[in-house]
Amino acid sequence: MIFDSNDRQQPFDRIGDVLNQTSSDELKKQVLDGFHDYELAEALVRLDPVLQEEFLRIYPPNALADVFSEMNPEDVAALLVTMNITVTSEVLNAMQTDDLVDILEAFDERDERIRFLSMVYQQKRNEIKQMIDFSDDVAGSIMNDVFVTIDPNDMVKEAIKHVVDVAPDIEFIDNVYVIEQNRLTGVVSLKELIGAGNEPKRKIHEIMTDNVVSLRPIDRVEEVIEVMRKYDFMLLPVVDDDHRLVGIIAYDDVMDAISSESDIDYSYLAGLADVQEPIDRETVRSNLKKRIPWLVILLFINLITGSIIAGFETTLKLIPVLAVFMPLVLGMAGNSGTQSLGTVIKLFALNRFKTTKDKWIHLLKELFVGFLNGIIIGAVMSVIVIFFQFSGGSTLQQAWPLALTISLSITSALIISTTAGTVIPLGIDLLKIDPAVASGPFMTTVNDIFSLLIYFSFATLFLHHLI
Amino acid sequence: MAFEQKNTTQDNFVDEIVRFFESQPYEEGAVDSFLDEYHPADIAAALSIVDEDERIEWFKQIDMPTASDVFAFFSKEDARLLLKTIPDKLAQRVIGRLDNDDIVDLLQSLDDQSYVDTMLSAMSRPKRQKIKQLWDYKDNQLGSVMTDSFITLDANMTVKEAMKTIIEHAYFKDYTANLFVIDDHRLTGVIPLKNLIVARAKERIYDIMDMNPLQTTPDDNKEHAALRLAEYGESAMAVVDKDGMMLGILTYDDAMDIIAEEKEDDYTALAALSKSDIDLHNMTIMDQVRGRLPWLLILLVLGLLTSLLLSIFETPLSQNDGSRLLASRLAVYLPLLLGMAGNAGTQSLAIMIRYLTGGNPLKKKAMKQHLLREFRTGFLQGLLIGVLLVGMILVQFRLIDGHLTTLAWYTAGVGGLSIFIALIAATFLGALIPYALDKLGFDPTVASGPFITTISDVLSLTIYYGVALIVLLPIYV
Repeated sequence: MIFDSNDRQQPFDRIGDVLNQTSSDELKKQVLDGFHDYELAEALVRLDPVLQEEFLRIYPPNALADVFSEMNPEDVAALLVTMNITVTSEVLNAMQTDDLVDILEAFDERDERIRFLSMVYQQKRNEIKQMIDFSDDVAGSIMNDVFVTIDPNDMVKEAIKHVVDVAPDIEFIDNVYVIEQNRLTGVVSLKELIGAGNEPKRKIHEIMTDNVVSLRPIDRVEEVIEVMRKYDFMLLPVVDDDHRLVGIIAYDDVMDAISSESDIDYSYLAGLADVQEPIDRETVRSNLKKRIPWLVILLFINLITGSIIAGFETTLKLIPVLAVFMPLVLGMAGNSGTQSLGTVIKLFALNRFKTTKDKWIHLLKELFVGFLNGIIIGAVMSVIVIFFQFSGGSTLQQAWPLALTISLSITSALIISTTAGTVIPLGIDLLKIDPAVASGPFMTTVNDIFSLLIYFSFATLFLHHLI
Repeated sequence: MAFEQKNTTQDNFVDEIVRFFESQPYEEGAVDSFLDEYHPADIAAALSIVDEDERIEWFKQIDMPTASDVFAFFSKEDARLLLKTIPDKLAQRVIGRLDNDDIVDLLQSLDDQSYVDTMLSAMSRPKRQKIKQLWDYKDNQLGSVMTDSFITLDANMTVKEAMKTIIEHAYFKDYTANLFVIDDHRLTGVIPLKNLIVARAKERIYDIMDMNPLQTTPDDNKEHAALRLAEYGESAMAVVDKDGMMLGILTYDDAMDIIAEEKEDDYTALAALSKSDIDLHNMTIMDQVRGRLPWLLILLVLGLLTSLLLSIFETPLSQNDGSRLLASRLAVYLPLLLGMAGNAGTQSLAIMIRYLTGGNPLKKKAMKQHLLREFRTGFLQGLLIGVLLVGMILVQFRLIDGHLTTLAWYTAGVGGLSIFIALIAATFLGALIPYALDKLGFDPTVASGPFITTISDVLSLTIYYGVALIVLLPIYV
């Protein structure tokens, strides 16, 4: 090895240095092989164009395929456009189908997608066409299509030989799937198979596990995550309606899915239009692109709050103190709405809504929660307002109308906002849209509108007492 | 083998197991051969949905090592309940077979010290020592979740010898996808089982291993390590001490749980929820209220700050008709201004928190650049939103008054200027506050969404009313 493994330099810098050296291509390739694919991927996107070209030139296509599978699909798409056709075609054909689907989907233009798809062999091309139909958030979109299968009547000896034969072409052989009459009937882990090596003549059906946990391609990614976490699975088989094995889902894609699913939820809750990049790749422009859409949308929704207040201008002029407690009422309603929204989105992410009944039960609970929180916060608020009025020199006679207006408003606003924070994401889910799009800021603004109407209605009701 | 259509849902497996146990008495050995075909997680699930009496009765029927495997899948609550009711002898056997990190986790959650000692006393000396080592790692350190259920090979072994070692040990070790290569007591390489089985029998492990095993130290933050494992797409990461001695591994299954929990914590903090695990069926209404009410009360107190400030500003605004008109006009844009600044603050807070809790340790320089970038971002979005707001206010005045007065221009100017300054401040502070908290050694996620909103409320209010009192009050009066 040229480099000491204790070198304090970052892998990225070291990879850049390797490419800059004047040594032979073969030597450079060998040194690059010593890095992990993820490190090579991270380096490749950051290198300047000259070194990038050098990298793509000396690194063999089938190894490049592994590096590409560690990269953002968008970055791969950008690279592919610059590469020559022979290499591109070899790289694409060496890639896993699920990764290829992601990359092809990263091209904005249909023509480009078709151009690159045409470089892939016929059989793989058909599989890709099938997978492109799967939406992003189902099991089918993260499954691998290569796996090892054996027959239940095989002997252990034969099965081991088969696994050894196919191992070089298959990424995950940690589980071997037993297929009988085209159906998945059992599973043997590689560990068990090797452990059974001292009884070479035993039949596979004697050592296999019969009850295989599996999912269907259309099951949601949330369910995949739940099952993988619950069973500590490394691999999970995916079967079609006839119980035919169509793919396997591997731990690495699930770890990514856990990250990306929760990143999406998090970004939406914060009112960001996109998931963020590593810190050294973010620019002011990419920063603005994520935030401005929501800010502009909110500005226009806020026209409604503005008009509501403008509509009550006379009331406000008569009772200026209303403005003092307005942000507080709106803020509290917004907060409890966000709490409810957050709870629903988390329950979705943890796959806790299995039936429609679960959703109704949750809604009912939220109603009670909103009611209880509303009453408690309302009671606390009435005490505070009375105290506030006393310190301004009012008597109890003068203080109670305002206290009543504000605490009744806060109680009703909390009940409504808790309900809205639950009903709106549940409703969006009914429309088959990711409920997380009912983002935090959107919910808050909707609740602002409700709360303002409540606040000024109560104020108008008690108007003659308040003046 | 008779072929029957099997339903693949896990619920059915659980039902089948429950029905089997209900159909006692069963023949000698029947329990073992029946349960052999089910995953321990399903058996645990079946036991956890029945009454306590049945659970204990059934659990006692299960043989070792299955009983221990099943036990490992119980929730902490169920595990504790069960331990209290089974004989110590059985408990010792069940606990003794668990992974060391799980033993530590379990024993540390028990209050009864003499019980813990009873359990430890049944273990072998080396095992006790290993547990003692793990005992002191803090909850957020990798050492607290690493496992020692893996296989090591000697660098000088031949492939044939290595395979023999694996066949001997595989049954007792959970993780075998990668084998770790030790030379002179130090971790020197890693080799996937897959590569080993296709290698020629006489090759030396040293020649075919990968010399750069993914590794870290036990005092590493467990979330950083888990995210790194996910980025590398590997199934395990070696944990070594400073001399390169191998202490354990972080496996993909623990990493999944760590990542999921970490991201959940970020999420709940941003939504002002408490960190309790959300469970639809077990969570009562009172649990929910207990989780949320403290947050709401804290936020109420913080919200009172805005009321206090506003009441100070309202005094000069309630003198005569002119100032009262101004007060009501200002109120019209108040929710808009506070809402927008709060959102901008939450956005940059969320981005900063994700950097702080993400997988890669951050360089100071990158952080400074990020803060500078946040300032520029705040400036640009403040400018854009400010200009839009000026336009909006002018249109509204035009609609109300029928023409554009000097008053309209000034009001629009004040609104635009206020939102411009408020957005810059909120965007920048949204990034700065969690960063500063982190620097001072606090958990940055406590600067949650609603918290930053309140801070930006106070700021925006002061800016808005401050500018308005200076510029607009003389004109309106």
